[in-house]
Amino acid sequence: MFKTKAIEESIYKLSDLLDELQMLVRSTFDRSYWVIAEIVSVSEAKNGHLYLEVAEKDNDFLQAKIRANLWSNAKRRILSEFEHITNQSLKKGMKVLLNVTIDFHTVFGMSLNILDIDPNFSLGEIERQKQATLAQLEAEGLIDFNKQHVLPHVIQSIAIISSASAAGYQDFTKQLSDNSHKYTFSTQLFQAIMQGEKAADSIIQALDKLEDSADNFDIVVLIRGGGSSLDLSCFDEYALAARLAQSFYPIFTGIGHERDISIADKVAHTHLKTPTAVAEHILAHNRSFEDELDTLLETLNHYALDLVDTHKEQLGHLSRNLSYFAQQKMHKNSQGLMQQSHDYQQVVKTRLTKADFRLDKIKLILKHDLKIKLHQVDQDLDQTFDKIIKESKNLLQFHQNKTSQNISALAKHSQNNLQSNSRTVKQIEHLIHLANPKQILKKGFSITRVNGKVLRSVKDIDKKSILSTELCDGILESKITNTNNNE
Amino acid sequence: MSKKLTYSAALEELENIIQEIENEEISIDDLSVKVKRASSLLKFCKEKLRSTEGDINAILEEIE
Repeated sequence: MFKTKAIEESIYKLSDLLDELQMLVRSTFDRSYWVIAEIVSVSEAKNGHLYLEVAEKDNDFLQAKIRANLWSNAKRRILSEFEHITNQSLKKGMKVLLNVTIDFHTVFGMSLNILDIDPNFSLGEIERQKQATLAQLEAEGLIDFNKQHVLPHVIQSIAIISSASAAGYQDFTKQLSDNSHKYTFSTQLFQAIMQGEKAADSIIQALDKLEDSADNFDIVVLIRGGGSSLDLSCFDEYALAARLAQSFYPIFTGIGHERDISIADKVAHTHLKTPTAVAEHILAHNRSFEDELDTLLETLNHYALDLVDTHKEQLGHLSRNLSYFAQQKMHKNSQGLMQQSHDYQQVVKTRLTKADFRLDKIKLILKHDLKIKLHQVDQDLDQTFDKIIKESKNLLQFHQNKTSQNISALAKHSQNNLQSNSRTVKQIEHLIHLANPKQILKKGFSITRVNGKVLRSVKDIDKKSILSTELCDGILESKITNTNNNE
Repeated sequence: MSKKLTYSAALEELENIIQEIENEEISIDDLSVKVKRASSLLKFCKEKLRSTEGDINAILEEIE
């Protein structure tokens, strides 16, 4: 009963109640308010309205949360201004300063109607966030980490992170390959989404992939360009920046920020505005190496020619020195010789003088000795002579005596001999007389001759010869009638 | 060829050669050999800047 009565007295239709609430809300919150909130979600309806959820968090704990609607009629103006100034579209996590009215709809409930969004607040927030990220990277030593890579002298092998369809990628490869120095390059594209919410993860994946690749690269080039310049906040994200900083390749960026440079640019080894600028930088790098080579070549030529000149000069110097010193030496030597000969003469002279003196001395001594000796010999000779004379006289006397004795003996012997000899002669005369042939012939013997020769044998006699026979008183001639041998 | 000749190695060798010549540590007899070597290193670097991998091997064979 009670219940029913109560219901009867105070029962509202939901619509009446909510209508009353709506009136209350509209009368109470009858103006616009500026509120700071973080976007929790954004979705665009087909009718063109943008539905957001905004909230306030305290260390990730929700403190407040409400839907916020940006009606299509206001959306274009508000978003274009916001995007123009912040270069960002509305997205989850973004802090915004909203000008709102509060509305209550009997069907859709409580919500905010967004009348305006202050882009400068978001810009400041973005910048604040960026500074916080930078401070963190700084604290971790990652800002200059990639810059520690020493670039190779020549960049020729390049890994590119970009999207194949991006104009920036085309510009880059064209600029590289059409270079006037005719340098060659090998490039390899690692595709990634270069814009929006998914960009950071996609780029990190591409970097992982190229670092895992078996190929070695000189540098990694991160380039984009040509598309919308909206929503490049990915390049300010901590995760991407930290990963890029720690790549084991030097990172070159050409991601085309108009207004200021991104955190990715700051941690990169080298950052440039556009992909074309990156290509030019690489070409200039290689060109500077070639310039260095040319300088070395010049230096080489210079020093080599210098060295040759120096040696030539040294040779000339040496040859001049040689002749000078040779002359000098000869002059010195001849002077030395002259001095020596002079000294020698002097010595010889001195020695000759000394020798002369000694000779004179010896001569004197000899003279003296000789005199004494001669005198002695003289005396000796006199003595000998006297002796010889005396002995000769004696000898002569002796021989005279002997001779006179011999004479008398000889005379005596001679007389004796004469007497005996005359007797012997008389006997010999008698014998000779007896032997005379005439005496013999007188005794009856004869001598027969043939042709004057005495005939002594009957042998070998020519029977026709005339024989002449001598007798003591004449010669008779006869002829041979017969011969008889006595044998 | 045991080791691939790199720009760095070539540059270092070149600089060494030049320094040797500059300091006159090279006798006049060795000069032409060194200058020849330096020229081929320079040629290697310049051609490698403009060559494909296949061409580079040919250049290297010429130098070594």
